[in-house]
Amino acid sequence: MLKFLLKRLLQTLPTLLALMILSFLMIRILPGDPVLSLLGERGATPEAYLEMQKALGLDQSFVSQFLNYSSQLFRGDFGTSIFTKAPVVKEFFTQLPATVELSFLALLLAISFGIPLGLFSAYKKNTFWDPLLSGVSLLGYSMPIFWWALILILFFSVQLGWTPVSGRIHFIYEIPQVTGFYLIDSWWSANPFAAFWSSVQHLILPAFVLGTIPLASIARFTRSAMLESLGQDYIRTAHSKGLGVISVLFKHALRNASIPIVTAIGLMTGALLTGAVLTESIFSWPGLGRWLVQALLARDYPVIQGGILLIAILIVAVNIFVDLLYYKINPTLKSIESEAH
Amino acid sequence: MKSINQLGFYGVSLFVLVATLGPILAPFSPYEIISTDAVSLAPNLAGPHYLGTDDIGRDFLSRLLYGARMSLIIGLSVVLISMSLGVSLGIIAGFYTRRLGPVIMRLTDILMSLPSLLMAMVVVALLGPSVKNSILAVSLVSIPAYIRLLRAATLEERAKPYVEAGRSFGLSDFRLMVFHILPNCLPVIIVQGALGLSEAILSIAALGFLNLGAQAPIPEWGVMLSDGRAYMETSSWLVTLPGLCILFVVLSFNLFGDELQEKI
Repeated sequence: MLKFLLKRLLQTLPTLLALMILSFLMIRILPGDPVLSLLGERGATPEAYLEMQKALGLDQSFVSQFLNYSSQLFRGDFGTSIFTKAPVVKEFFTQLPATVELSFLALLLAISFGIPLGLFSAYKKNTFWDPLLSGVSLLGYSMPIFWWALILILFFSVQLGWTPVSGRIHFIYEIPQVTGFYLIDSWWSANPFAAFWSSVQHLILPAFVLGTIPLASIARFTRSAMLESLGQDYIRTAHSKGLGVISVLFKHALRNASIPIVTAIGLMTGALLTGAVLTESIFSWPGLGRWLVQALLARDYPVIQGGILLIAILIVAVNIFVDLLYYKINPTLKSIESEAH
Repeated sequence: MKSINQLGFYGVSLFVLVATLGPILAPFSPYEIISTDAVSLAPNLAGPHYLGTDDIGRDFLSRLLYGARMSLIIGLSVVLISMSLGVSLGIIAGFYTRRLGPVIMRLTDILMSLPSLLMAMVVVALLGPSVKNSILAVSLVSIPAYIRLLRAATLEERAKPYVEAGRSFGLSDFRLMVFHILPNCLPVIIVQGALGLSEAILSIAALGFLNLGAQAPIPEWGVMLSDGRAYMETSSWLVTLPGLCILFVVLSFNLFGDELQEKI
């Protein structure tokens, strides 16, 4: 187990190192002067120019810039935002819980609807249900979610008035910072039930939007994995033994289809993060995606540099965690390792 | 299932037709401000503005039609750039597994260390938002998919007898790769091309929507969606129609890709 973990960590090291170099070169090899583009033609007085150059770390020689940059990184210093003057690491960890809360709920929705949908589709293979449900999943899979979000807002928020348009919670509730997850932290506020309900209302629409594509792809994966396992001999044996449909479907077929399904879910970190960028921007959800978009639009170079590195590290960490889970549930991986010993 | 998948072919054909004939079909110019009497006219089947006008009085149908052409041109450019680079690099990586292969694959890993839309956003923001730069950025992040597919396919083909036979006739590596391995990989390339086109159109629209791609007043569906957002409560067609167009095109290409995959 430990050996497996170490091996995975070592594998990701070159990628992270290369990304570090890339993020360093990023603002230095591009055409144009980043200092000028930040200040604008008019704001560039000689003093302001020198000050900005210093803030970006561009006032020294190329080599010493790189040495500074890497030594700062190894001390955990990912730079300071030009506009908010706050350390990038601090901003990252302030925004992280909002994105995690949103993605977690989106994934939960996607799994709890996607798997039954795929299961049903595979089970009803030769009826009209299968093409209908497959069509619906392909529709979800092709969805431009930034449009989908607007349509849902138009319907649920504007027409019906059921859900709020943006934000994480109604501004009248003051939420103490305990975990950063409002669904949990709201229980420490002055009015726990109302605050919790408010955060649920704010969360439900963005989570559904973010979960749409994962839901559709989980349904598609479940369907094809189930079709494969339903075609196996042991299913026919189970049927001929007189086992009930439910028992065959869940105990025999789904269990054997679970490994490809879990693999597909594990690979969704990237998709969730991409979706979060769009979803958060639309719902003004104060998470990592909106943070990065704002930095990109404002050309806040330190935040872009540090932000993409931190996000890449986050993705690597989640992927390693998924691999560990996978290692736990898939017995064949262990037997391969013990054979190797 | 068959009948549904065939819809993809018809959808793609319709899109290509509309995109090609767009300027002929469009009743007005997509840039000209035609109606000044109202902020935005609602769709009216009696004409002259069949799908209404946008917030500053430009004919919406014409803008949507030009938008189709924009999407097709952008999508095709992305696929052509990423496909030609990705396919060549992928075949090289699969053919020279000792030295060049690992180098190419490590570079691919770096490109894939961030989700593709995120990487494209960063590239566009640094180069400056424009149609040209969003084409470059989306092409760059679409390359890895081709490299990985083609490397795997080449590894498989390379082990087959025809390659060995070619080698024994003294064919050069270049000839083997271009005239023997490449044609045998065509099915994989075509399927990935169709799926890549739908992905490219979606990414470009997302970039436009985030103000990181095409810029107003260019009639691009993502930009139109983001422009219409401020007026969506009073003029909902400014939001619903461009999105439906994107969904229709992406869905058609995905169906078409699925169909190709089954047939090939």
